[in-house]
Amino acid sequence: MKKIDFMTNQEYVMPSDNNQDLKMAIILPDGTILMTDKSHDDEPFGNYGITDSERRFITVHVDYARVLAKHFFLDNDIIQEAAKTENLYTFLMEIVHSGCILFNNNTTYTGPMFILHQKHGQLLIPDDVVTEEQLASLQELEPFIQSFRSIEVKKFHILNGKDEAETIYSSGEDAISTYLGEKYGRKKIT
Amino acid sequence: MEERKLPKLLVLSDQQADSFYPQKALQNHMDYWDLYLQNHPELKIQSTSKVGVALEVAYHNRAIFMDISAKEADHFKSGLLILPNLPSLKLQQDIALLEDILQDFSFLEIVYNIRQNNQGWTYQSKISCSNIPSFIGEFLEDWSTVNPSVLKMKK
Repeated sequence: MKKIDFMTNQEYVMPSDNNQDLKMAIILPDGTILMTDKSHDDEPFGNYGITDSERRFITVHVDYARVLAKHFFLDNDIIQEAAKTENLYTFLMEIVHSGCILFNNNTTYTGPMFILHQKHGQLLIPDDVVTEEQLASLQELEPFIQSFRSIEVKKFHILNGKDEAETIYSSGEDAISTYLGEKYGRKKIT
Repeated sequence: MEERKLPKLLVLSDQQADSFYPQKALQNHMDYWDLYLQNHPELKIQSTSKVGVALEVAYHNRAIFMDISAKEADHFKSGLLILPNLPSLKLQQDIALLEDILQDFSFLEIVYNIRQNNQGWTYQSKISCSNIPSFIGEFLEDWSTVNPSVLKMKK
């Protein structure tokens, strides 16, 4: 499947030394993966055509969200507004509402927390509408999250217009295969 | 109008409410949890992550609220409310009071039906990005239908 680095809008190429953790990945319904790694941390916003009076360097998730929204989801007003106003949770939820799978690296890299907790991520899946193409692309993400100590896998269901989620914690090695095993297992039964 | 100060971490039990307000000296949620756990060694908490600790503490029949607002955009207040599986009516009534203090929030995840298996923690949750007080109210109204241990509260 096509992998695009959403920070550069070019094909995503894994760093040759593979020492940059995945920062965020979005799997569109057609299976295209928009992804980027931490190599853009601390780069000037100006490199991405964004001016900010308060922050000059890319440091946090919402900074990545702003660059993503500059190139993608241009017709989604909620995503555009959430990125502009730095409303991160609404931004992330609207990505899922758009039928996309989202991986989010929420590791605390500084201080003793990193020694204790190591790398942690979230995988948000719109379970009711996920496509075969997305499931195939999800398998391609596996090498990028294997080194994470824990992954919070959230299966979303929209019920009566409201978000409900089932969450399981898994290791980076097992997270995707466990989800896919459940998904395919359920399909065989029905 | 003066902005109301909200706790970074709030732990409600049948006996008491422990509130920890934002302090510059404390950097992340684990620092706040350390303060709480120093006073509650009897809980014998094993987890090292903020959510892991919260789930474990909730397993000891406590309700937990954490302000998880991003520092860079704290005008969008975001919270995580973790509910115990066997709450007393008193605890349910205390949880209902959160409707008022969380009215400035724009995101809330309510976690319930916490389970632990050999893989780790699992739970169910409901999430809202708008109108948080009514979201809490509606959840509490329905809580007894998703958890038979919860008594239906009379309005």
